[in-house]
Amino acid sequence: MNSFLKTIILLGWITVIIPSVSIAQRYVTRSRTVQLYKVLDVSLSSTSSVFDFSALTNYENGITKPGMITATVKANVPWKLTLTLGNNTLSPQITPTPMPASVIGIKASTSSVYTPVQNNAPFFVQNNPGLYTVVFDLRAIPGYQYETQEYIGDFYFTVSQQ
Amino acid sequence: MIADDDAIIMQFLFWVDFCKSERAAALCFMKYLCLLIFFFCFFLRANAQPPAPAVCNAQGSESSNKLTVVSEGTLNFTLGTLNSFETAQTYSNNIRLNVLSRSARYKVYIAAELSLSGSPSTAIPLTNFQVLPVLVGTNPQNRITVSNVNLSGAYQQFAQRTNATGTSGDVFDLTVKLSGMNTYTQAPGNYTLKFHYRLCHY
Repeated sequence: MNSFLKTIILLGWITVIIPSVSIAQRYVTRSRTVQLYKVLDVSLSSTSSVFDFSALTNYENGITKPGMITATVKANVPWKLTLTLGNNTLSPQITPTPMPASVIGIKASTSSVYTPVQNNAPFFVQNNPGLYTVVFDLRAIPGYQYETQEYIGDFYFTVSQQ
Repeated sequence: MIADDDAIIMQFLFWVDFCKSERAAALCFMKYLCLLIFFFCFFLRANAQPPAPAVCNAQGSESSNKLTVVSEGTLNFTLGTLNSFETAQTYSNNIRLNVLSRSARYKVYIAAELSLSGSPSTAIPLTNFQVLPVLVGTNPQNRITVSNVNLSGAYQQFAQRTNATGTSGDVFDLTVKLSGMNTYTQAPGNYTLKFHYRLCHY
């Protein structure tokens, strides 16, 4: 019985003495907490914000602006960048034939298909965490049915977590 | 051999007596044994060290040759704004170490571990952390050299002295710098950064 108790005491002593030796003497371990908060950020730049329909060919073929908008996304979570509009119709909305924003199409420059700009089915791109530069091509094809006018639309890019 | 058998029988009888029946004694013994093994493994894991440097002697008594963390500054390194990810974060003089090496010349090493519960796919690279040591006070013999290190899982030397210290030892302030976070590939959360310091004679 005594030998068994000695064994138990010895094991207990070892479990206690090991950490105390390691902390106090020739090596030391200390911990820190590194707190990373969630980051979601988008910034935009554009080469131009105007589609200028000044020639007949513009009406025939539309105007394409490769790389018209560049978005820089910083996110440490999976992200989604969505394009919405202030209004589905470009201003002014009181013309006899209001121009829908969907005459403008957008696509990522790496893609081949333009998506009409509208709030009902918003255009979006998404990706994994990281730092991304996303270049967008835009194209406007209004045709001949709208009045001579300067039309304006507000585009909102919103980045969110997937 | 007989004595060993007797000892085993006596041990079992102790558990029978302690736990009131033979079956209960067996269960009780197993539980206690598992508990001991658990705590033993826990302490070993909690104090696990990286492999020692190639030359790492230990001369003299531990009371005369030891590392002491004198003080610690900010315990949390916090990246809470976009700017804190964009620019290097410096935690100046964050850790003060005292190195007492009365028996021989020494080298001091540092290594680190980083963990985050939930095992994220991309952790912060240890090399994003740089430790910049500074010798506090003056050393009349000019026999101490310090060097900056980018952390890794293996011990790296950051201080060296070519003779033994006096009774008060040498004091080092460590500044920790965190950079390279502007890739945004590391998952948010509370990471635990564990520093391992090691004193070696050479």
